[in-house]
Amino acid sequence: MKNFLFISILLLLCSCRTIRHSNLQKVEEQKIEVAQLNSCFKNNFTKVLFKSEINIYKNHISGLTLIKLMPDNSYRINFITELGLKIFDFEIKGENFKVIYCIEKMNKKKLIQILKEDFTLLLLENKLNNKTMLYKNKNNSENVFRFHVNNNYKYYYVDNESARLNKIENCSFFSRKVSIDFSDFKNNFPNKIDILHYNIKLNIRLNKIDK
Amino acid sequence: MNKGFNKVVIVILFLFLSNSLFASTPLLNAINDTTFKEVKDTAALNKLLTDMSKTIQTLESDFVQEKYLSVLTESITTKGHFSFKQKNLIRWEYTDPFVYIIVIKDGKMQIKDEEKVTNFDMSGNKSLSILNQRMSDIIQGNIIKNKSEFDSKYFENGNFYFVSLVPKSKGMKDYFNGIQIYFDKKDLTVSKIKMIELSGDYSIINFINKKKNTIISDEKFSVY
Repeated sequence: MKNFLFISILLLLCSCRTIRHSNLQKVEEQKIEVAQLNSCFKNNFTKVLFKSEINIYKNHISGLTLIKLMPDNSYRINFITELGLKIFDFEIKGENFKVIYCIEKMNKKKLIQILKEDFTLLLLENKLNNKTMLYKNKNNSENVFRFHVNNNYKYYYVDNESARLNKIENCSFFSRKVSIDFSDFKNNFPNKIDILHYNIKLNIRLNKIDK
Repeated sequence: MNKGFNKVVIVILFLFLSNSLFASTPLLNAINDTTFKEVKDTAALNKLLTDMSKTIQTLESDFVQEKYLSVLTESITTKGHFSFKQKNLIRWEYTDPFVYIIVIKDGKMQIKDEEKVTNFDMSGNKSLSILNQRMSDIIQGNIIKNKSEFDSKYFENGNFYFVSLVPKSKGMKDYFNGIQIYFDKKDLTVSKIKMIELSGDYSIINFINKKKNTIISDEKFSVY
């Protein structure tokens, strides 16, 4: 019985993963630079303002998110409410992360850790080895670069035609943990970014404000 | 979580609705602008502001809000429209560069964020109901009896009365170092509010095209 249960769980977990990536075909191992992933936060990026919302379980908070590249190549992420009250101010440079400011109610260790990982992934500041496995999806519209880092698989979906980064996924061996979708591109910058967690009820939506 | 922020926000919104608020403890806070001199006869100024607030049935204004963040050299500017009607009906509406509306009516608060409407029943929530009480205190002038919320100091120059508030109570102290309010001497209405946060970042709200005692229908204080 125990074995049966174990095998069932294993099958279930494996099937989740295989179903998820069943439309991908392995091509070959490649060497790649992060720049080739064409993140909208690299290559001449200076700053951007989003109307944004963060949903954490039953809590909802909306406001404006400013992401700015500083002269020392660190990123600052400021979240303020519509009425102007600052909620948090984070600094990210590579995998170094600093809480410059955070209101007491949100300054919880676990939450900060999640936000750190999400924004680091979003800004492509996470460490990637230069070896990647290249996949193609079945209709050949995207190149998918899979990196194996610290027991996690990170997938970067790059559009074949436009060379835009459409999606980032962070997966454990068994399941998807986070996906970041970039959509509604205008002048090669996504107007919409959705960060979605699969194992906790947390999502972040960013809608670019044109000023 | 958002309720906490909204609570603070509502307090701020209400701050400038009642001039009588400034009858609280005359005290501290320096000011940089050297044209301003401290008002000695605070009782007289209080009376002036209180008398003025009694004449307000409705108030409408456009506003420009500028948010100054330490990481940005320029401000983030948002614009909108504000309406107030006795007793405690409020509509605070951002129109540019996004639409976001807060209305308060009969102890209920609604927030419309793009197409999504969220309702808060203030009476069903202890902290919100205390706040509700505080708000009506402000509007009715009873806040004069409450000296626990802020320390205040009064200044004036040729054009403005300026009131500097330093939060004393925990709820406000968690978010703000100070709140500064400028009254236009011509009509004693609020022209500018500056809110300084603990981080040193601050917001300035400028009120323009002010209209007093125009007819505003109650329907304006609901969103669907």
